[in-house]
Amino acid sequence: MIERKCTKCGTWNKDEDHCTSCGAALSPKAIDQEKEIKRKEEEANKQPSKFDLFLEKSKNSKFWIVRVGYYIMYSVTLIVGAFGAFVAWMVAMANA
Amino acid sequence: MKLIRHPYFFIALALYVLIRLGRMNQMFTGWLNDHATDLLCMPIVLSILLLVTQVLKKDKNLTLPWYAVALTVVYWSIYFEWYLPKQSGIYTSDQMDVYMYIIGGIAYFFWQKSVFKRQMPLRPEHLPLDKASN
Repeated sequence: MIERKCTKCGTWNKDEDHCTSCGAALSPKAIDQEKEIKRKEEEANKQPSKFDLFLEKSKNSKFWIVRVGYYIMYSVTLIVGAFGAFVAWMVAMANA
Repeated sequence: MKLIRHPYFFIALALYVLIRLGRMNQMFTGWLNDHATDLLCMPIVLSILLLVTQVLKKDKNLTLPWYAVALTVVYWSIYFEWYLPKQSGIYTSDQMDVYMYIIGGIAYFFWQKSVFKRQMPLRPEHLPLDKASN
């Protein structure tokens, strides 16, 4: 049987994921989950960059052509196509 | 990022570099020298393209759909096996290389599928009770 001492309050716990006294994460799985939640919270609270604002503005533009442009330009296929062509050009340049 | 850090990616990249360096002093002959790099280049390039797409789309779990893989294979086949041989003498057109690109693209697609299948989403029942409602 594994026993873990809580690093926050010092209570000894049996094989629990969280401290029975204060609720702090104890097992590696619970610690990982806590980190993931913290990371997601930080991501949600982060200030959007200029690129994010530009994307958001294009996505919700009142002009339909801008919205269509956003969906075409920001599609996975176009990104892959454009960068794929760029990498191919670079490889060709390296061979020449 | 998952594919870039995968051992298969490093093995493919190391093999690619080794064969390219080997060409300088005729280290390898036959299929290994002529077609192996074409087979390896699709998984390597598509892994890099996946990373670029994940960064731009801000989604680390995004995977390339089959038509994006097919588009890259078709583009590379046309560019290196049809367009460049017409433009420059250092390139040769070879049907076998096109098959290698196709096999490389298919191999990449199934590799990506197997790597991204293993990850489990964080489900509410795995979370502590006070966080599960969020």
